[in-house]
Amino acid sequence: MAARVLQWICRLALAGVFLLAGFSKVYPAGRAFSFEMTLSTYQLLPVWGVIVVARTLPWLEMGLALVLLLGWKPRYVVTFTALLLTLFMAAMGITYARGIEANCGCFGLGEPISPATLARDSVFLLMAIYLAAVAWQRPPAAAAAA
Amino acid sequence: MFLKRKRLVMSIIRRVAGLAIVVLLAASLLPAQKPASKSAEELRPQCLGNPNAAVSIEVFSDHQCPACRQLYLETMRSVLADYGMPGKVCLTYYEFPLRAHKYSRDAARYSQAASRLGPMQWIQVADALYYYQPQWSESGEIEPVVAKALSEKDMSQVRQWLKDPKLEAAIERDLNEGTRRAVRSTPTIFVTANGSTERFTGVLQYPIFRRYLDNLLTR
Repeated sequence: MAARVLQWICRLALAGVFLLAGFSKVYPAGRAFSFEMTLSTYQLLPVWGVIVVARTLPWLEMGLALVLLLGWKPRYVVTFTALLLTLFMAAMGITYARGIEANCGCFGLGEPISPATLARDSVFLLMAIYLAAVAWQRPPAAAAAA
Repeated sequence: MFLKRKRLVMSIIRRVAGLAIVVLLAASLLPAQKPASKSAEELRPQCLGNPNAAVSIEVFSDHQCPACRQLYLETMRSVLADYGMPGKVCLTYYEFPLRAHKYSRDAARYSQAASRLGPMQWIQVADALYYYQPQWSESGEIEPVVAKALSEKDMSQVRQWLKDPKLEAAIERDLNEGTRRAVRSTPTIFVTANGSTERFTGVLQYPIFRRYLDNLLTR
């Protein structure tokens, strides 16, 4: 029972985080251009890559929040969530290790990448890994019910 | 009748003369007025472009910081040419010499002195300082780099101004402004438009900055 409650908390927390993260990148109007600027400071992607990621990522995050809330295909959704968070961690970790002073861009503007942002995202990643591990241990029907 | 009028005129002249003496005495006793507004104007960072533009870009930069070099040479020079010079934006550079960089403060002094000569001279000196940054960062030889960018006459003027304490005051003023705005690293860029300010840290790709500025200018 306690495990079930913990899984619900993790799912709701991740859904809330992704909803907030996605929304803060598209609202208010023109924020998408600001997010392009933020991604640009990572110096990891070419110009076209920055534009593609900045234009698709917020909607992907909000869609992911929705399917996490609905509990649709949990095995694949939580696994994808864990992979996406790993990607975020890698991008931030590489940028921080290179000594580049970039904005995180996680929830809007003005938050530089720091040990605190890396630690916070690590907690989200651990939640996603935990959910993925539980989902793959259970038979598919039980995983969907959870 | 004539004598009466003459006395009246004489008494008016005496009173006016007396009042003038009192005013002159009072003025001489007051402390001398400093040309404060002129000094403040002189110390204010220059807006490159149109001071009344709808978009204002403020950059806190350190001449010895490699990321600032990259931002200036790869992005801000183009911003200056495409948006600053045509008067679409107001671009202001603030001196933010970091303590970790040995020659930053000296470079900031040269930059400040050049900015007194005018915006074009500031741009020439900034071009030279950022372009030759790898060289003078090692040797500390800033003056030959600045001399390459300016005429002999301008350079001798810069040498004179380097001794002026107002230059230090201007750098301190920029540093305090940065501290007030919680600038912790360089380059930090503030873009103000439509009453709101957005802050970015680090190097920005010019095509992305151009998209961002075009969007702000069309709003």
